[in-house]
Amino acid sequence: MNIKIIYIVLSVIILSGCSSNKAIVAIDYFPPQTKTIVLLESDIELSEHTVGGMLVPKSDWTKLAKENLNKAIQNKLNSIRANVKNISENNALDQKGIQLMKTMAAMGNTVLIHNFIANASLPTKKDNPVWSMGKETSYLKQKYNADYGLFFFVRDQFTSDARQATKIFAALLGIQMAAAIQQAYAGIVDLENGKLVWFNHLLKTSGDTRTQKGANEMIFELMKDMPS
Amino acid sequence: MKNAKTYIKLSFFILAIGILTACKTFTLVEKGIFTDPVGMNVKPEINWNQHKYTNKEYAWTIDGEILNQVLFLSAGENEYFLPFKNRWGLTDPKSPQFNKNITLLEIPDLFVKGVESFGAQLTILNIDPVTFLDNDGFKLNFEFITADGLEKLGIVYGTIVNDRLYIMAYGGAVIEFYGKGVSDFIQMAESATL
Amino acid sequence: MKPFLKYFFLTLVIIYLSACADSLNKYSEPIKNIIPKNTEKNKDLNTDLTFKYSIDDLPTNYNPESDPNALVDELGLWMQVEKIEKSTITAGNLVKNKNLNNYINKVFCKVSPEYCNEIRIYIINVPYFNAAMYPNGMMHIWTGALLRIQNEAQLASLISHELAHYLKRHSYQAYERAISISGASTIGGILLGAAGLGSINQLIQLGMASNFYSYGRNDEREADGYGLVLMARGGYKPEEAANLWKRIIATSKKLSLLEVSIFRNTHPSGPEREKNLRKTAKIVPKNNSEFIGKKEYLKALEPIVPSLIAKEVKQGEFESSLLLFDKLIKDDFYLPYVYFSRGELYRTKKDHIDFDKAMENYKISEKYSTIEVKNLYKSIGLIYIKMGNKKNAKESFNKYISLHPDANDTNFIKSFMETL
Repeated sequence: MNIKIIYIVLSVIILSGCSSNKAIVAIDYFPPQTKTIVLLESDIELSEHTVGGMLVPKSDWTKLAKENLNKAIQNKLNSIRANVKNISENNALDQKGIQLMKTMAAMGNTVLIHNFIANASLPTKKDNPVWSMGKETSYLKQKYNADYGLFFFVRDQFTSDARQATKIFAALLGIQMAAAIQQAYAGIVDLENGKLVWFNHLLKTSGDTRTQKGANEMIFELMKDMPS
Repeated sequence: MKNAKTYIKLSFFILAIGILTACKTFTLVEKGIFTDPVGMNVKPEINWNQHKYTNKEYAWTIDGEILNQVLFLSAGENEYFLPFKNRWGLTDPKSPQFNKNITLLEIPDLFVKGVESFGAQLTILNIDPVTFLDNDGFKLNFEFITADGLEKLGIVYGTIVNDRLYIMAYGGAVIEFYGKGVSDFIQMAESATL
Repeated sequence: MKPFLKYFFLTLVIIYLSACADSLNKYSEPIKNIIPKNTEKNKDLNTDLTFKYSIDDLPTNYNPESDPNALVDELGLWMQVEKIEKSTITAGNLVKNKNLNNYINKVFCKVSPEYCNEIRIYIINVPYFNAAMYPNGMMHIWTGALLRIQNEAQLASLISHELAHYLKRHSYQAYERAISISGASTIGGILLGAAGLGSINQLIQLGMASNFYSYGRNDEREADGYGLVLMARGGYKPEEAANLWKRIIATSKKLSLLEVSIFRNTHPSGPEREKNLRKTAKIVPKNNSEFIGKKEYLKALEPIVPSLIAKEVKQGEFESSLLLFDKLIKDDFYLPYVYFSRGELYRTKKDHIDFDKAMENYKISEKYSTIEVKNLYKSIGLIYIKMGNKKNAKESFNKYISLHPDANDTNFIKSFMETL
């Protein structure tokens, strides 16, 4: 009996010890007041586990959540006096833009792994967690006439084995995502120089983005450390 | 009895702390200092983050292994030199193995085959002779696209010394990240010794 | 100490199992005879000679988005499928060769002028026989299928079969079935590529997940029936549908565990299917349906033949590749490449490299052509080295260099020769 309890306590210590939650804010990041932020990528998906254990993506839920989250983000960005732009159908990304976005996604995944999982932190980034994809992002700056690019990623009610990208060659050759019950991350890239100026990650076991309230809560928590 | 119980509790505590600290995957590789991952002596001119997979497989990265990654590999007789793991964490038996009868000429193809079995589409740019670890070796340049469609570049140095295969490889995203480490990688590879 | 060890061990086991939970899947099953024993022998043979599939049953203006019968669930699939199409377009293993893609689209348009510009066909570089139709009008054809297909009519039969699944909305129904049955590998997990790495996952990564819920026997029979109608209307010889299936069975006799799983999931029918197809082909309404098109097909495949065959060798399934190459040789298919690749199979075999057989095949390839297969003399040189014959090795490498002076590895080979 005694040992069981100790054992549970041990597991809790280990599991909590191996994760942390601190937003990245670049030292020289100025809040984008009066600047333009283009919403580059919003990868949102809501799915449901069936009784049999199968994961079924729900498009009506996803649609709802997308609307709610977009609204919440617009509100948040408006509150810091930034102009928000969306990508329209006829100004979609071309090949070059797609590669830039894939690199940005890889960077997002990387920051997620290395900044938010304590045992995978990179010693060289410890005092200065700066990630940058370089001047090539200025291509997006011209295309959308925006100073910053925002991307965010939301998965609701999706569970899979959360493997970190630590298998050999896994990282070199593919992109992997750890996932849990409600997971979101968002980042802002300075399109002039490709620097990731802000990034945060949220991992929760509750919350419902299908309601406006739930979406507001998620965005509030996700972006509360955003400088304004 | 009491002693035994407290002893057990104490050992749990120590175990917990030990696990928490051992939880660190990456260690710092300081610039300007010689180090010898997998027996290859190199001196980096920038700081790197080291991830030791096994005694014969080390990886270094600047920004994260997805974005840029150096690999130090070594394999002896009948050992896997690109040991990709299957679903159960076991080495896939189709991984390339090294043995005494394999010539240097065959290594680049075996390496490429290994990379491709991860679903990457690879194009060899060139294979040139080079001195690596003070021995006859090859330098392989290639470009590849990951299963997710991300474009990447790769460069590999390899040689066989005393019936043992040694490989230093570097890969990274075409946009920005490959460029961040490639010159230091090449500097290290071209001056590496055993 | 003992109870502590027990709990510790138990928890390790639990953690490991839960982490691997979605890895437990079909691949752990032993190899069985993948052609299922036919227990419904008499039921399957179509003794009714009236042809029940009419071209009028097929919609001419099917638009899945505005399908009033679409259920909410199907919209979930739609979203996933749109994502798959997006990733297909940018994936590294999409075959982009213009001429080949135009040819395949041309065949499609012959089979179905109504949907000529609506259906998107993507050729994916995966060395197994498979094709899939997605509910949003996207079709995938794996290059392994292209390598096994013998002529244009067989290609048309594959395309019409998949199109029939689409027009009769089998995909949705299969997906619903999958939801209720709920197999071990979740579609969500596969499509999002969340599962761990390993070669099979890379094959699946391109969203072939929808093919991993199989259509039932009735759906397959329906798709066969309507498929024949479509291909015959397009002027193709319907018997070739039966011949294609015969070909697939013949080349599938030596599948490995991995290949069995893919095969079994996508082809629930057995040898009686060939009989059925042949019988039905006799009575399907024809429209001058005699075209087979072996020459045209082989010509169209030409630009990708080297990579097709190289990919087949690279997947390392010795027995089944050997069998396939035997069939290709009988078909007179690009013989310099096939013999060379057979040699490669013997040379790159994991255990016991067979030098003699490898050389034998290289020499045959050489008789057909000395220049067509780029790496021929390089591989011959490698075999000579293994045989200890340095002089001949050098000769072969020099031949390679003189025939391909602009190759990307000539300097390396030259320097290597100096060490011999």
